[in-house]
Amino acid sequence: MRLRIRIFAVLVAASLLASAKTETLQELIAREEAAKVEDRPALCTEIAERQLKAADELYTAGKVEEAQAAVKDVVTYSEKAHDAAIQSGKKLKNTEIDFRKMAAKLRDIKRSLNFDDQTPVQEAADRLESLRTDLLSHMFGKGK
Amino acid sequence: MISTSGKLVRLALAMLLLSTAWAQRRGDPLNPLEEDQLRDAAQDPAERLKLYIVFARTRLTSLEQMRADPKVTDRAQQTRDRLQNLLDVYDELNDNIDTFVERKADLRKPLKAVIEADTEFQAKLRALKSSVDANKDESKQYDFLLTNVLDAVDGGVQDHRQLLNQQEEAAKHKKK
Repeated sequence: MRLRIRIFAVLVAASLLASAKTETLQELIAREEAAKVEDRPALCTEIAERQLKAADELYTAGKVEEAQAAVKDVVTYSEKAHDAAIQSGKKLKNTEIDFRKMAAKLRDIKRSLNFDDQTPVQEAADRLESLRTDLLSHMFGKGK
Repeated sequence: MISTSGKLVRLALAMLLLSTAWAQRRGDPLNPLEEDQLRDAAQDPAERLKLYIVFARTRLTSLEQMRADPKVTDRAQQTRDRLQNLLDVYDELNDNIDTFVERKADLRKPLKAVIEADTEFQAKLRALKSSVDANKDESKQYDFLLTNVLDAVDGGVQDHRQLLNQQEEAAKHKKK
């Protein structure tokens, strides 16, 4: 009996892992829209991270307009993650660290671009830094 | 012959351009010279990671020098700014490692240098943490940030060692 339960648990875990891996961006967005506020920081951050990766690839492929749209999504979903983290009081520290890392990635992407294309990316990095600072203020009780 | 008013207009334009450029750069932890160096090493993981190590080390040294300088008056604020700058550079180092891993680059050699630097940064940051713990009033302003930098470097050492092991294993299998 125990062995059966274990096998079942492994199968469930494996299928969950597989579904998480294959989840499309649209599915992830749909899940985020239906999620509880305390689950939103992690989901929104994941969407922002995926769009950041997409932006990097699109810039590399020379698709600047699509890349800029992806960068906008990074900011939009980071703002959502920020709001949900503050509203729920959960995942503040994790969200802050994720923003820090995304800002670093944005600065790195910016440096690989032509001067004319750099501004929106730098602005996005600055926006993430400002969201991050705000989260820190909340963590230390100043933003309450 | 350029008139005085012409010179003034040129000067005003130059100042405007400079301030615009500065505004665009305000969030960047690297200076223009460092950016140029990175651009030159864009396709070379070893060179690029080596540069990041140098940039991080420079920031840590500058932090130590500032803290040893008795003339410095706003020590807490300067410590905070320099720690943030160091953390930004260290995050970018890690981000570059991730990018090169995705490109399936062989990072065995540069990772050894990174791990060596990690150990050096860890020791210096821990020494700083011990020294500031004695002055709670001052360290209140940057204690959280210092803990963050230490966490980042501690996590970095583990990740970099793990990655080096993975790459060495993969290289062994390739040879067979």
